[in-house]
Amino acid sequence: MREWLETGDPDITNRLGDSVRPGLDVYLNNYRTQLLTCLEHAFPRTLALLGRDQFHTAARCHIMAQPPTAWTLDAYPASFAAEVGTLFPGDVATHDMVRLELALGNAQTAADRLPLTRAMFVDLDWEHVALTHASGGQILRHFSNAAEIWSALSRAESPPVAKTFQVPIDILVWRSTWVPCFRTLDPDEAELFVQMTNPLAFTDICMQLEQKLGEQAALERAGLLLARWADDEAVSIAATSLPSQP
Amino acid sequence: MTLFGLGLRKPHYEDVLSGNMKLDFVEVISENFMFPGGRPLADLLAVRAKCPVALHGVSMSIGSASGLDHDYVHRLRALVDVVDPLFVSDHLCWTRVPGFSSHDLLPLPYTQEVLDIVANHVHAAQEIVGRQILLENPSAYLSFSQSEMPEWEFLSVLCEQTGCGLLLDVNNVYVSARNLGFDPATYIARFPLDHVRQIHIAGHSQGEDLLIDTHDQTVCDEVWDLFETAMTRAGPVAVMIERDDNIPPIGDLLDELATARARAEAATKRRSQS
Repeated sequence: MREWLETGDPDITNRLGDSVRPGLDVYLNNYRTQLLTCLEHAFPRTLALLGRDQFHTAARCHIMAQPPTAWTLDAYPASFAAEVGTLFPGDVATHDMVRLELALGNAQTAADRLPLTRAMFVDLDWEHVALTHASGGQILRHFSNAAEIWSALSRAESPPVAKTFQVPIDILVWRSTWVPCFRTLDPDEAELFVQMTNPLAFTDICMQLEQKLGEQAALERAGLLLARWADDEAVSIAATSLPSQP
Repeated sequence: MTLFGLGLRKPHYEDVLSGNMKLDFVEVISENFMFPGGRPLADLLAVRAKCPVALHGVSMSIGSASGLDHDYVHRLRALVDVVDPLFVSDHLCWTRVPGFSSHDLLPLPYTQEVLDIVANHVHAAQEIVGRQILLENPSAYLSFSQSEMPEWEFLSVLCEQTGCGLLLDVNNVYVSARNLGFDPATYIARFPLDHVRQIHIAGHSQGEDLLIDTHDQTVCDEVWDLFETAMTRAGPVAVMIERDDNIPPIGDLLDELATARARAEAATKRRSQS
């Protein structure tokens, strides 16, 4: 049965006899349709970018080459994303788009983390605060305008022509409340978010900014970044302690 | 007491959360909530606060010759601990082996060897989950010449050996009977109904050669008749309408549930008259 589903080789049905052919066809159709539908749902903007025919050709090629292995179908899109470089060699925008949609999908069911909000600012002892990514936080390095194309397609607008960048941009993906979202990061912000994959002390953030910008500018930049992160719900508190009582 | 509920799918969450529906329980697909966080789990817990929830799985792969996936069952246990479900169920089938997952409910040959394998897995799964599990009779599109006993006998022995319960899917009985050429009324007559805790009622579609268990249509008269027959012999069960595709407004499903209530009442009258 496994060999039949993976290959659809007619020799297998010939061996088993004509009486089982209709049943085997049902199982084969269920298997392939389910995987194709899974990839369509995981990569709706990639499908729109490539067009239905090209996307389906690539998806079918992937389904034949790479059967799912996990207990959940939600794990299957990752294997398509890993293979997209082979399926579309040199198509940087498609590669970036697929990774963006995969990250957005993963953020949907990532572990819940309480985001930092402005209301928390006053009560926190910033000497002891460490920050980390919000739910589903992930940084993607894009070498194309795939994010711009994604946004245009999501607004049902004509997407811009795909462009490749000489200098890559960093994109932060995370989940704000229940909605996966993304935005482009400033270079200094991207450096900090890379470090925030593990908890990063706020004092370290300030020190790094000070080394680059000087004391006064670092203070202003730290305040601006913190406000932006709180408004976006883009970071969580990984560790803290309450201010000591007098 | 007979309970009446619905298979809850995404389009109807809002209806269930905001309305005052006469639902004794809802059933959800376990795998859709076996994740660390996010909205699906939060919504499920909101629903759970309103009514009992049954967890229905499709990936336990209880018939895998390669063994039970303990990691999967522990994940299920974690969800069970959060939801405290009315029932935990899956299917009598295999879905995967190491390195391959079909994401479909694939048929088993009903032999003593397979019975031993499934019984061992049921014991292990119930141990990990910490409660009885129910197994559903699957829709079949082919059968095995190696089978040594009919499906109802296989399930009956399995219940006796493991203490598991059964989820009788009446539509699956009808689909399998039409596809494999057996009499659905005989199947229902011989099914171990004393082990049935839950009943699914659903629709199907006509494929090129076979009936397909699509859950995308209303319930047909033949399935309603089989359901009523089953209810003349069933004990206290939880009955529900299962719809997974071509999903109508919830009012349409509640109308079908009203038919289920009426058929169940008719069955009770038939039982008291006999």
